[in-house]
Amino acid sequence: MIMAVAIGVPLALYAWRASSMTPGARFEVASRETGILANNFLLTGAAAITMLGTLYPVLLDAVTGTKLSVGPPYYVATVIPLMAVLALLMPFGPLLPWRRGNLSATLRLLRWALLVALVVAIGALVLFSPGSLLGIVAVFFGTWLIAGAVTDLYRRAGSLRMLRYLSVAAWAAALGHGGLGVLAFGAAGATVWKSENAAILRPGETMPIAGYGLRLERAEQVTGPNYQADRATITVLRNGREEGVVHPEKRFYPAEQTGTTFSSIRTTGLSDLHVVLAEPREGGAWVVRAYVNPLAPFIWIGAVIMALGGFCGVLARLRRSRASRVAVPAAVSAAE
Amino acid sequence: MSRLFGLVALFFVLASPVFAAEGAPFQPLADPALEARARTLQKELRCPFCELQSIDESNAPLAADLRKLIRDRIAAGESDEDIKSYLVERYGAFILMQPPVRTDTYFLWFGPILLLIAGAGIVAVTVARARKRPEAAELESES
Repeated sequence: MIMAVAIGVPLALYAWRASSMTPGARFEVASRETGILANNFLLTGAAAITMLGTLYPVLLDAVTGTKLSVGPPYYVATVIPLMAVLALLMPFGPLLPWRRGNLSATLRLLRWALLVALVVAIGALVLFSPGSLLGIVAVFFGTWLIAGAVTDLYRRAGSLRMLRYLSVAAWAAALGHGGLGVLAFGAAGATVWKSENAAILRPGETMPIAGYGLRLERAEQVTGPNYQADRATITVLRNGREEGVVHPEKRFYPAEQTGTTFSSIRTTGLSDLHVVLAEPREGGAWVVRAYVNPLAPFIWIGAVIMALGGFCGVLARLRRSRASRVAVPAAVSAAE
Repeated sequence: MSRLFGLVALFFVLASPVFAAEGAPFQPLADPALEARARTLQKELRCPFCELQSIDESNAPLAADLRKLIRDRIAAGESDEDIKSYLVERYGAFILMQPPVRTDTYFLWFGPILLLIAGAGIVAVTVARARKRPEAAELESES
């Protein structure tokens, strides 16, 4: 059913709109048109590979009966390189003019962005010495995208004072691309630099996790509307000072005979701390698991910035079609 | 489709089922280096009962048993490869998060490469054709 909608709606859209696609004008290799083409190719490719990885085990099981798992390592090996190429090319797109551009002139515009990205990546390499290659690469591309977006804004505005006179379309590109850079930082922090720890804690005992201390105060039975739970009171310590209290729960729903772990998340805006109450032990002790995902909030912030960019893009399109309504039949501009 | 899949995966991560029966209790290895190896290994192995959850994340009793099995075997001096091949023998390649490269997975592994070559070809042909087009009389300047 979901598959039918997911496949049917795009096909219907294509059938409806295909007739309005016309071959465009002449353009050169170094042009915004090529950029858009490359963008579509890379994003479609990533989507197609994700579909292959999702459907392959299902089809293989149906055809041969062989059971297979396609997990995160497959996507790291296939989709991530594609996204890296996309991120590498992305800042060029808005800087290249339509139809005919000059690659070396664009590269000259981006030399500061490249320099900043290299410096930040090398800084990250030195700072987090046993660093993972994937994390350093993500930091490089994150900085490259943000610096590329700033370069684009600066080139269009000319000065800081003129920034507010920029068109919505200029903001759309800069926010969309810069937002992806912010998201890259979040993804790098949350996957590569995350720390985790698990320990068996008796009440009063403390476990360390990435600069925090977690002290189990007590665990008690509580009854909710449709569940029973073990609810822990855990004090979060930072440099020996009490920072706050979290209450992770382990819930059990008698009606369904299932349970869930109800973890606590504390965020500083720069990193997220997850505390999970895992298993009980005799004598009131509990296995407590904790995770610190640095920069994880940036994943959300980056996505919001990208959505804002998308909103600006729609706004720019609406304005453009309103401006050209005199020339274009109303039906076409409404469909745009 | 993939986004839906992601949401489903997220749901299972957030609401990991806890079964009434508990598996082997958690007992980390004393040597931090060996414990780190166990952690890495259990992330690369799939819990046979769960929706694409690793042994590391799952709360299922079997996952807990497998966590203990991995630690016992690491403590006994077995290599990561030994442990993996033992588990593949017992549960099949299904247990590996990274599918092996075999005849029946050639398309899974080499499909993306074919796809990229085909896509790059389409892009190249489109650009080559666009360069040969005559200059349009009217400019469609949008930027």
